[in-house]
Amino acid sequence: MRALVSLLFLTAWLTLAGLVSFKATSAAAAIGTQQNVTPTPAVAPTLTAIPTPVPTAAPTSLPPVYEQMLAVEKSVLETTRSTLGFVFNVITVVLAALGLGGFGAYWIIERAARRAEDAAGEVREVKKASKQALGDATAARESLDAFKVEMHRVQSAAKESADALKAGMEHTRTDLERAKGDVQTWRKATKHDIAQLRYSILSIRIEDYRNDLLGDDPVSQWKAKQALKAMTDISRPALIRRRSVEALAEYALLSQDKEIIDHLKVITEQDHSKTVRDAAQRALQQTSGIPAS
Amino acid sequence: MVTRILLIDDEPYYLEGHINALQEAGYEVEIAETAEEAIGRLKRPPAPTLLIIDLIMPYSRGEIGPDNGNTTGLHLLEVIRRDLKLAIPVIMLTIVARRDRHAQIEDTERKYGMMAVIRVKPYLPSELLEDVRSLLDSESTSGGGEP
Repeated sequence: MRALVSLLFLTAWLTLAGLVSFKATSAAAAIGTQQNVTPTPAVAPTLTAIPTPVPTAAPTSLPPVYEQMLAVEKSVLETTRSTLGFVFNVITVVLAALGLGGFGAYWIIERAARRAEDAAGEVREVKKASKQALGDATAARESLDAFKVEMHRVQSAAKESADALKAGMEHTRTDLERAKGDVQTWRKATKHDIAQLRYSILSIRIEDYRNDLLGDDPVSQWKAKQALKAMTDISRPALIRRRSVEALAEYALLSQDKEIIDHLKVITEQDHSKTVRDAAQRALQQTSGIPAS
Repeated sequence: MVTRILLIDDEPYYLEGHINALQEAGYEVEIAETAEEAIGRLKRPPAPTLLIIDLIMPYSRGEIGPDNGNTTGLHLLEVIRRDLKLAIPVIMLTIVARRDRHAQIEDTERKYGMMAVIRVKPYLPSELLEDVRSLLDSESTSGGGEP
């Protein structure tokens, strides 16, 4: 658009300059043409029109005075024509120069305006970017503030948790101190239960072996005999030893098994428990036919 | 890898309890009710990972064996180490609590660079499982082989 306006402006200037130059040239040409026209003879004005006799032939020569006047007039006209031509040329050049200068000035101004507009646009962009940066900075500051608040909250929560944990640990430690006795009691009870369980198993096994001893299967009988003998070992509880002795005595009374009788004799001499020794002694007396005392 | 345990005992009461406890713990259990059956099984691959042997048992069906069967487990242990040349870890079960009998077992094992665990009856299933795990762990760290 600006280029079009500039072009129109230039065209207008050139057209104006061309017109001025054409007019000047035409005027000069017109003056130049007039000098060759034969001057019309002066006629005295009359009130009424009287027909003038028309010359039938052109004069072949002019009087010298006219010749001189014409020469002077020609010289004056020539001078005037050249002067006017020069003036018109100068005017044309000046106008052209003015036109070009004006166009140049316009172009320079236009370019400066465009640059100014660009600069203004850049300034607007910078302002916009600054505004955005300011917004970002504000948002960042708000985020930082929120983060600080959150951090403070987390720190407070962590402190509260640590305090609670500490209090809980203290509470647990106190509970453990209190429960220490309970745990020991429970351990003792468990140990006692296991001992009772072992004792119960042995008691059951003694009954099984007693049945096997009195049974018909020789291998089971053999196994029961060996097991009951093993259970009279001094490492076993006294009650187990006594019950094993009683089971063996019953079998010895029925079978008169020398192996068992010899084993009972050893018990009467070596067992640490009087109850067990007495049980073995009674068995031996019954086996030998001596009534137990 | 399958942990295969050969259980050698003649008493149904203990056999039943042992099989249940060991199988529930994830072990594969085979049984032999006499020393003779155990030897026959040990001659065939695959070799068991661990042996549980009762000390007092008949040598074979119908034959009590030497020492009135009181040391059949010990005799079997000697055959396993000396003749079969197997370095399989052993748990020896016994109702005999006498130290001299335990010393016999320990001496036999020491002769072949082994160390059997002796568990006196009666015991809880958890105690037997503890012995099994302990032996398998020490075996995996030291590595098995021929005695």
